[in-house]
Amino acid sequence: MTNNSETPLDGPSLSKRSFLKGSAAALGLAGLPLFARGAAAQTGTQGVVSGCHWGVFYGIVEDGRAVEFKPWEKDPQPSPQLPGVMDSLYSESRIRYPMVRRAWLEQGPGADPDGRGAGDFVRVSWEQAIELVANEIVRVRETYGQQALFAGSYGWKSPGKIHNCQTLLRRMLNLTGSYTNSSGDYSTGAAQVILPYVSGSLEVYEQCTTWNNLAENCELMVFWGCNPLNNSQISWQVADHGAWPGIARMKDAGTPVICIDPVRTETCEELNGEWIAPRPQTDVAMMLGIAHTLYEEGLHDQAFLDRYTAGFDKFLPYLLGENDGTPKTADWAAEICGLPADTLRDLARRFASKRTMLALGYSTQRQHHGEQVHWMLITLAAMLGQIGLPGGGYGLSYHYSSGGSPTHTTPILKAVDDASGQSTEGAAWLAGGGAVSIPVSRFVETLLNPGKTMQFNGHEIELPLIKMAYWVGGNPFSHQQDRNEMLRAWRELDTFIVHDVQWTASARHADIVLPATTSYERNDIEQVGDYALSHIVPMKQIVEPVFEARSDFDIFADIAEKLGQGYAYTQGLTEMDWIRKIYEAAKIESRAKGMEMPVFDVFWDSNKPLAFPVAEVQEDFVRHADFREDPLLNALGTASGKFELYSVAIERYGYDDCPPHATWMEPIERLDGPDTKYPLHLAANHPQMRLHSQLCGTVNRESYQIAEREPCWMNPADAEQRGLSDGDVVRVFNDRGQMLAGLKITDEIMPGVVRINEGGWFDPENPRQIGSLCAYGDVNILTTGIATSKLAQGNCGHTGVAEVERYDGPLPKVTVFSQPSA
Amino acid sequence: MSAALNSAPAPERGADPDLELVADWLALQFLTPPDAARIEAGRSAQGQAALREIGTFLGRPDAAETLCGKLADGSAQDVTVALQRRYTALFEGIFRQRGLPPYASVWDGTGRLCGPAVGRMQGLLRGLDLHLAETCCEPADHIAIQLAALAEALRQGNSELISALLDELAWVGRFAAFLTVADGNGYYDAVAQLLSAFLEKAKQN
Repeated sequence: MTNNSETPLDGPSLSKRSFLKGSAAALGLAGLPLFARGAAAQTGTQGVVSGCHWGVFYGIVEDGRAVEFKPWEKDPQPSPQLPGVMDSLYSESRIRYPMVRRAWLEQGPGADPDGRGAGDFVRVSWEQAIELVANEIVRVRETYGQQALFAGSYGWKSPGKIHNCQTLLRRMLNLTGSYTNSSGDYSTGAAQVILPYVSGSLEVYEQCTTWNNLAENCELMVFWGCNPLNNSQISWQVADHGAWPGIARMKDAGTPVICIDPVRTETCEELNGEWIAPRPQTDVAMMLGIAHTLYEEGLHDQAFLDRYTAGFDKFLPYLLGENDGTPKTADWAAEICGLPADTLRDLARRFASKRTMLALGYSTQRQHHGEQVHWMLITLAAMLGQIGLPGGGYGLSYHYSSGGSPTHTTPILKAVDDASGQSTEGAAWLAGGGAVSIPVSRFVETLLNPGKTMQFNGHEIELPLIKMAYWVGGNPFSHQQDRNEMLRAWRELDTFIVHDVQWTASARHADIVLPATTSYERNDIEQVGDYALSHIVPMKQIVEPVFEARSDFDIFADIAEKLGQGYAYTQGLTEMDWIRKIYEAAKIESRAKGMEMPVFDVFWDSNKPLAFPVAEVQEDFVRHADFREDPLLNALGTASGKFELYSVAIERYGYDDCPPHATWMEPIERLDGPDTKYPLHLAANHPQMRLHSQLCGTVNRESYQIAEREPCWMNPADAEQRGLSDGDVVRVFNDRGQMLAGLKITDEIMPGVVRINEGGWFDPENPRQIGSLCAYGDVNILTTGIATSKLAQGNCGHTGVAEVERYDGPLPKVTVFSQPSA
Repeated sequence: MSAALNSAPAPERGADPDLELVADWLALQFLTPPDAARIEAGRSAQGQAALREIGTFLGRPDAAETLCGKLADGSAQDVTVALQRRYTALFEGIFRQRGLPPYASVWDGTGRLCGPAVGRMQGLLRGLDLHLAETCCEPADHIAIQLAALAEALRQGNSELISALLDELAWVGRFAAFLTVADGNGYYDAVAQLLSAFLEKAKQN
């Protein structure tokens, strides 16, 4: 910590008499601990390889300062967000020092909870901060029990096998006791729970039929709420951007494309697709209408259904209306989804007559009863009978991270584990662990209802009493829905601790804030492409840590040491020891696969990613082809080994909001819904120039903000009806809250829908007042906090309706990015 | 400080030692929030007298009087808390009001922290045969480092570096003006006035 109490520089003898020389001592001016004698060596310009969610890049460094992040020359489509990545390193909103909320520090845990977010922080030394955190962990555990400490910290932490801050948090806590964990995620919370019942695996994070195969075999590509040319800018590991050459091949092949979406997407634009815009949240009804037409016209593949699926006979009476009196005809569906019935019938005929790939995106299941969407799409694909054929069937991972980019032959890098004794390979964030585990989006509900029994995926959870939350590598004040309900819930916490790099809304609402390094201030190692796995990249430290930032690894090592588990936490290994160990394990694995990786030092010093080959069979991979070829030998992981269009297990659960076959159920609110109060649907899409809330506090914002606010897209007809003009500052509101936005009028969005991207930083005009107007534009003020159903308990980030009006009041300044007035 | 500093280059010209002291004092104001010891020193009779001497030296006795008044306004603990709170609000930029980060890069048009000013300052520190101490976590364009470097240049009597450092401090005029607006009639407003007066005097020296 920079302090003011050390010995000063002492200068040469004075050449003039000083009138003030007595003042120095009187003012306590013992000296400034800023300098040491001797000129530092000047370094020339260097390019240092690293990687991030946006891809591989070289950090260009001059005299110890990063001046540019330059894309890797082999990146097929560098992300335009990369300048913002460098900006995050030097952002004005960078957290510079350990800080503690004054009321918490002076009056103790739980003091003045209304004051969270209002600001008053005290800078403390690292030593004091570590002591405060360690003591509070002990106090909460001793006073309320292990479960009272929530460490289900979730979010898009930076990539890397060492500095996975969420794993490191749990490692420290597992070594010193226990905690309440979370399971699942916000991206695919509903789909990832129901799909194991339907197709026997997660699907949404598994490889789908490759773009190469589609270009050669697909005759009709349907992007259903699926926009890879936006969302493949990013990957959970280091992005490979393989979607771009993949889609280029499809474009060259001239494959006809249909895009079903309330927004005309980048993918639709690039492929000159046919844009079909049903009412949002009515996908299941639309699919049922198509399915009914298939059956009515004898276009379904009964042989496929007989051989490869189970339960169609129990679904069919519902489809035909035999058990509820409502046949799910195209006309019935048209009334709900807002498209002409003839369009639905035409889609059924085209799907059946062509080799059709149904590519479904994640947003469709982030809605009330979202489980039904993926189930119904698979039911529809099963009726078409093309699953497992080249260029046909369905794909659930084209949506992001370049799913469909062929998988290379590569070892899998291990990672620092959480010391729980459980395997963390694969989708680590889906694992349970801890004293208790709750569905990740149910944290607010848990805070407000300790002791309540919650149904979840066939079992019951007694919601624990939580008094302390520890968050690293995430921003719950962005990704959680219904911000005002969340603020009420946060009042229940004694203590909220956050590590972050920038003053996000979560950091602002914390009691203890610890400045963490970015990936660019530390060393790590990672693989390139979540599906491609094409390279291993040395994530080399580009610059020294700025201000007083420390790595999460070091922070938790100090806390573990304070709690008597320092060695167990580090195992006596340094950062570079860990990296070498992980690399060398991969080297052994690669040898078993017939490859020879260079020794570690050669790899590290090469300053470039290490490439792996791709086999021909992987270039042409077809999802479920092996199952189609031999459904007995390659049975699916379901109870029957087949696609389950009716689930006996789900039937046994008896959930009123998740029936045992794909079913249309009205969400709590939707565009033109029967009981819906507000007239406009909120499309809370993934943004184009940031990763959820990451990079909102950077230079990238200048490329999209309107009147310094988050944009709100609106169709010209809706704008005219409200007398609104392009560039207006508007108030968007419903019964849950209110926010400002900058209006963009465009015919790239359907009437009745407004688009406000999720991830805008929450900027309440009066942080002490729940319901205060958000000056910047956090759309999750307006979306609902309810769960998808008792089955998955996923979030409903795409369920929300609102009204929009011109804002004529005095405009509150946007201050969340801490820009100076200059 | 290390003994090696005693081998600093011989001065090219005689500098005003009072300027050096004031530069160091101003640097301290911006480096960290004040601790209790610093507040106690400023509240003491000698401390108050010293502040008035600085005010007189810079031709701003009114600003010094404001400082004395603010430091004596309440118990030492209350004043410490109030000024720590004010420092954090003004310079650490995490509150509803906009912060005023005390870094040249934020004010010179770069638009972010750690801009080219850091590189230029590192060059000037080399000229002074200095580098940032390991305990210092601030980038070299922090106003405290720029002022402390100027103090050292004045001690060394290095006209070229004094001139270059005063050029580097050109952004401070706008910073001080905004600080006055942001702080009203507060402690840091008075510091801003003394800072501006100091730079004027240093240029004339």
